[in-house]
Amino acid sequence: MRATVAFNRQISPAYLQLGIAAPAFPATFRAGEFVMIRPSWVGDPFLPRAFSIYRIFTRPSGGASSAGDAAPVVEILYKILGRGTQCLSRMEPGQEIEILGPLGNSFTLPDDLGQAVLVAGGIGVPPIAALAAQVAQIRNSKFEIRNLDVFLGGKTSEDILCLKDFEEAGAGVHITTEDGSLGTRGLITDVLRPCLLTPHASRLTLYACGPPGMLAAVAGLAEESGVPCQASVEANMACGFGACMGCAVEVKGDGKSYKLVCKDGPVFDSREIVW
Amino acid sequence: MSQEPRAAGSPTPNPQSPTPVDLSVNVAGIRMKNPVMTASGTFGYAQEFEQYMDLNRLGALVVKTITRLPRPGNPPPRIVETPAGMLNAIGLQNVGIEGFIREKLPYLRRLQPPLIVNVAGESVEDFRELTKRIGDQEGVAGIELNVSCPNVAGGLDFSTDPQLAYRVVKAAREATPLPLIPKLSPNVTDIVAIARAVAEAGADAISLINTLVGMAVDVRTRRPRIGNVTGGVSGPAIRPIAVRMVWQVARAVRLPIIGMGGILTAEDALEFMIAGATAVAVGTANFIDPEAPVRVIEGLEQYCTANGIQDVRQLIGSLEIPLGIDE
Repeated sequence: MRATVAFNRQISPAYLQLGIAAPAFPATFRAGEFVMIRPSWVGDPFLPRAFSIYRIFTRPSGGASSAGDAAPVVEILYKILGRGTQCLSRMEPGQEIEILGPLGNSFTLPDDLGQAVLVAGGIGVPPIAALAAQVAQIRNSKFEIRNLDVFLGGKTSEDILCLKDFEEAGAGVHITTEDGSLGTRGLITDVLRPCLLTPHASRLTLYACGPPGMLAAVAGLAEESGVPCQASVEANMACGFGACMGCAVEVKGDGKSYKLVCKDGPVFDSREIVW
Repeated sequence: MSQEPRAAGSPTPNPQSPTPVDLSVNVAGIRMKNPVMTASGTFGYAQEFEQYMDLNRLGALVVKTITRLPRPGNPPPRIVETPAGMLNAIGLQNVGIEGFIREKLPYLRRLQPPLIVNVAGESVEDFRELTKRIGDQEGVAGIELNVSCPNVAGGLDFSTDPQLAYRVVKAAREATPLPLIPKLSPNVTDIVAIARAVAEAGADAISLINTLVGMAVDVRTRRPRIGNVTGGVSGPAIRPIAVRMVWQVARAVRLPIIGMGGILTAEDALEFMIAGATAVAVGTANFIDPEAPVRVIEGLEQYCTANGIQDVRQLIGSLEIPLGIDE
């Protein structure tokens, strides 16, 4: 659907935050859902790109403002990694942009959830921040504040995003960086491991999003400790709604079998995937 | 004031509604209300698109390739973006013919546009069986023969050799009276020779073109960018090649042609029709804009209205080559 860039600003040296005013977009979403985004012109880059939804807010429509002001603004966070994100980084407020969504499935919070442990690596953080906000909203009835923990990892302190969101959600935040510039020096799994291998781990559920190597390691830890883990995975994707069948991920089963990240995911039970 | 009585039967002048354009075409007996269909492999089994567009506006529906047995498809990564297009090696992932008949066909049957089912076999006998089984189903208007998928190992490419192509179409011809539409590969030296062979074997129409075999390399890892190493290139990058092949075949073979290859807009579709295509298929564009076929239909109508064309068929093969140009 046709939409407009509301803002597109740098939030750290390598990361940007894009807001898209999309009149036909729903005002709410579930953490884990994603959108396909491309410039309104067709050419280079040719395909839309998939991004997890970070937040959606609806701007109050003032008396003198234009009708577009009441449109939901869909927010994503992104890192400039290739042609698609480079092109996106040059888009300015007011420019037309195409957005499709919300797409895919979402993280699920079981009714008997004891403790949610959220794990995010680098630019995998937006759906995890969205999930923290969702947990915060319902935690008064279902959770204690101390039962929400977040593990954030990155190469350097610049890769640690959304700290404020997690504080607002009342989460216990654990940070690791590979160079030690913030939090503990090392990998996210180094810090996560002792927390999972405790007698209390039986009521834990892990929620993870990040680079493939990190997800595989977290899934391995989950398996080892018998903790259920919902992992949001990524794949090259042309359409986002099950038509191109490009975003296959191998799942366990008889012989080779695949599921589609866009339609069956992006959130999978980590035990289902061949890592 | 008195008015002259209007002569009986004379048309009422009404500037608000100009004469409606007749967009209908007939491809080998398949009546289409407009010349726009979907390209196999880019439209799933249609249901994926129902929330984005009115499927009943399509001229015809072509669904993703069906094989005899279910196929899991190729290992990822399966797609990568390339200049003005994409490279894919999905590997004909599908539920198999019985799964299709059971799970997909009942939905497709309820839609108005004529349904063209695309099938691929691993042998001539496979094509015979598949064509027979699909031909026996209610609600199928035609069968497209995928003789040219570039992404499957084991000799699935029957369309680079005129004799093999002939044998496949001949076997399918013996198996069904339904319109047969082989979809040809552009990865050949002489497309006309293949087109003549399938025409002689009893094809009713020809789809042109399938993807071009291509490859992309990640220079950082020195690995191919897709799991299958090579794949099929689609999108606007291949359009000029497709238009050229449609033009060549249209002049040589007296069969209707369904033109496809990088059609995003009505203007792209018009190129194909003017070059000789009776109908067109929108393919890769469906991925980036699920409403693309509707935009093409609307654009065709606007073009006809603006240019005083009452019947879209006037455009087919209307290419004008200036005098003195040696073709």
